[in-house]
Amino acid sequence: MASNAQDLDTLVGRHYSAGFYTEIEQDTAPPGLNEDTLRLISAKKDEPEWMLEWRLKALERFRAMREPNWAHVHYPPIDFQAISYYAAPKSDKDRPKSLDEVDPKLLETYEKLGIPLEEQKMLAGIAVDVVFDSVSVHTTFRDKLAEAGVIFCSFAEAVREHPELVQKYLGSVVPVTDNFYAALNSAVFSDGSFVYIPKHTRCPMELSTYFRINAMNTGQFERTLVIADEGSYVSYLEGCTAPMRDENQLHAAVVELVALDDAEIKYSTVQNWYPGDEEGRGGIYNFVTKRGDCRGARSKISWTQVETGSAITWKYPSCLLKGENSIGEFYSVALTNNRQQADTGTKMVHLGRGTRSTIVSKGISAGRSQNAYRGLVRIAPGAEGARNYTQCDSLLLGDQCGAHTFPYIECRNPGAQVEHEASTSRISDDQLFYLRSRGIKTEDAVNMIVNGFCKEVFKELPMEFAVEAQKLLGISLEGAVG
Amino acid sequence: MDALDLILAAVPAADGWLGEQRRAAADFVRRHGLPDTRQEAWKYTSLAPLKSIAYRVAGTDDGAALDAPALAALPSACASPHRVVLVNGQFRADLSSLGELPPGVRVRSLAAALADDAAAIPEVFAPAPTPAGAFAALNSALASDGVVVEIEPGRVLDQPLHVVCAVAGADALVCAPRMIVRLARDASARIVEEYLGSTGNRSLTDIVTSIALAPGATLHHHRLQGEPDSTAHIGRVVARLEANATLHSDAVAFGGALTRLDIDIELAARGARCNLNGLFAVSGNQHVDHHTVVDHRVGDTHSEERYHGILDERSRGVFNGKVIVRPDAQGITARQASHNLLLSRGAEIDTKPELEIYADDVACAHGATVGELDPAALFYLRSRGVTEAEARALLTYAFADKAIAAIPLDSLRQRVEQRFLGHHRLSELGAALAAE
Repeated sequence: MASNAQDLDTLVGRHYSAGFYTEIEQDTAPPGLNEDTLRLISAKKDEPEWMLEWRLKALERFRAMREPNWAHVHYPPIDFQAISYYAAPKSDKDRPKSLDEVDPKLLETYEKLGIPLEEQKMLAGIAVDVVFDSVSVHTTFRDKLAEAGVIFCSFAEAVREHPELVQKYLGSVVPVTDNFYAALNSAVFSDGSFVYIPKHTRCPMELSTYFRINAMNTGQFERTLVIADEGSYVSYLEGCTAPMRDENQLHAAVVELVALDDAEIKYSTVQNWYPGDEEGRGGIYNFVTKRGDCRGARSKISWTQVETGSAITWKYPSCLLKGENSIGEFYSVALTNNRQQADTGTKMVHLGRGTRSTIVSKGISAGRSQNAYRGLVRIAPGAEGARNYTQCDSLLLGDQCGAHTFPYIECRNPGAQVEHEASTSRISDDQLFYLRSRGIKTEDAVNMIVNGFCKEVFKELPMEFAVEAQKLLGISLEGAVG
Repeated sequence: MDALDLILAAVPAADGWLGEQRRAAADFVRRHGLPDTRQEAWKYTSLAPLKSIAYRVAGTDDGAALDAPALAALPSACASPHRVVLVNGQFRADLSSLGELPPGVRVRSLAAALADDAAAIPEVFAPAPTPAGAFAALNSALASDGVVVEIEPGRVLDQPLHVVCAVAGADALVCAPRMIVRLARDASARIVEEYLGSTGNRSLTDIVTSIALAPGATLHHHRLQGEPDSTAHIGRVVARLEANATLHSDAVAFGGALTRLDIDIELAARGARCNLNGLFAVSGNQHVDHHTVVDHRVGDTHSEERYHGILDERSRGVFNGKVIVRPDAQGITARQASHNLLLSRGAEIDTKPELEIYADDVACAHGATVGELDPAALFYLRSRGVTEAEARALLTYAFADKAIAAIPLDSLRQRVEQRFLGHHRLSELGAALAAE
């Protein structure tokens, strides 16, 4: 049987290789991770020599590293040689022609989220018509940003157009050797976004709407670099409430933020990658390294995240508080359902005097999922008068799921004040009964309670996203209660 | 590893199951070596300082110099009619005075127990070894003596059994006693384990206390680590609680250059509950590490845990408290708190209160705080004419008192109080309190 099947495969393969598929072949790197892959990626992107050197060095370091296994997640071993590390964006031919060809389940979700029709097409990966093409929207935004002197472009473009900025800041927050997946990303990163806000500039818009249409198909190894120069402010929104269509199972992104004196970066994420089916098959592995560097005095970096997707999430948006009186914040809602696993949290490293950090983490577990908060608060000897407040609460919906808390507190300065509190509980019968007795359906009552539980985090999100995030939680929890 | 090989070469020979278990434990240690900081459970505690010490396993003669007057000279703790003395891990009949034990209470040396009815002991020697728990395995390989306490159903040991573990004699000895405590149904007892030694002694104590509480049994287990600041002390308490059994644990650590204590509690049946109270107060270059695991294996089990740490000078404290709630273990309450006071620049605390929860009908909470003495409180006292030193002493004492006041045994509480006041540059305050 097996050999028959193999013969058939060969036959079919040969048939196609002679025809249509040869063309595609040129745009996709053969599976495998080696120097040639990097050269191919670099050449495709028309990168300067120094960028290739950087990648090659990263690969060398990556080879010496071991895959981390300390996270509270379980998955079959990943074969890094079986992955293709470069695929050109999909041609229009491969995309669904209209919404009729898209999975109705996906459309139903879009409908519930209240996403406009044109955007739905975009999200579903449909080749959009020219009127709505990025070109027009693109230029309007571009003009406005250029007027303010803000640089916002794809990473590849930044490497070509602003090499001095990229060379100065790339890898300065997340060094190549930081961790296994960061090293992998450094070697093979496909594309991503680059933001530079000049001195004393308030970015005229939230870099979100633009991003939602711009960042399709950036690939599985995204690289983002945001630099806020002295006295500037930017709010950046990444991701989308709508489930993303994606064929790549492993995602290993790196995000680096740099805030100089008096600068502020607000980075919000809504992550809703495909979590796999009810049994957790086929979901995305999201292994991300995100770190912000409060390099300047009085700088501030604020992370807000709503995580509902991915089969496995491994993600710790962190702040290095180097500048005097700098501030780090982390607000997170992580929801897991079915067989999802999340190990997420933050690191606040207090190095400068008078640095402050706040951590508010809300974990919600349902179905048979496992949801872990893992956080580090480190107070260095020089962080005189540092202050941290951490609150992490877990809500359990269902008796098959798990909620875990692993907070690390390392304090080496007596003048610092560190507080951590955590609680784990389920929705109390009293609360449910109260709402039910007022005629509210169980499912709606649970939604209300869950939203109340997450309120502290939602209020940190840009307004329109807070609304969408609430709806998203409701949808993600469908079927979890009953 | 040469030193470890030498230590393992000293594993006492024995026949039958005992010999087999010792060999297996020694093989385990040989294979895995001793833990290092790459292991999560030893992340903050490095054994490197011990590497340069040429240890050898303590023999019977090593502690001979410690006679009754010498023992009396050590700053020993509570007065109790029932006292057992181990010197370098060896049971000393000449120093012990068991007095008149209530009926149904049996206290023997481990060596005697192994000679009497070895068949009744095996299970306690074989906790499944883990790489992080290599010292427990080393103890299984080496332990030839210790104390065995057995209490029959419904019997009560109302006066505390005071177990004094002293290190004495030659330098750099490895002492590996084993304590076994078994309470039958509805029995209850109070045991004080106290660790002492003379200044300058660099011995390594590797002790395991295994506790088995049958349904309805109650044990108060008080542990006072008061060895001199030159010793290394690595201890493990393993307890298994059956239905409605209760364990109160007080773990107080003042002494030792390096102290590591693991308390593993298994709440194995409904109604089991434990209450852990911890206090460590160290200074100089001392390093003290407490790891606790409370495993709620079934529903309707309850735990409460509070640890207070006081770190002065260049000392370092580590606390890792883990609460596990197993799948389907519903109706759990678990509370855990770690409060820490840093008294000086150079001191460090690493605390990690963990929750691992696989059931939903739970009410679990933990909290951790780190800070210095409240400047407002200091100012208040100063403004009322209290000197800076006194004010600091008073506030430090107030912090520690939350743990000290929770020790239910009067004589021990007073002793801990004295010891704390003596240790912590609080002597003036101590004198003032004594005068009251």
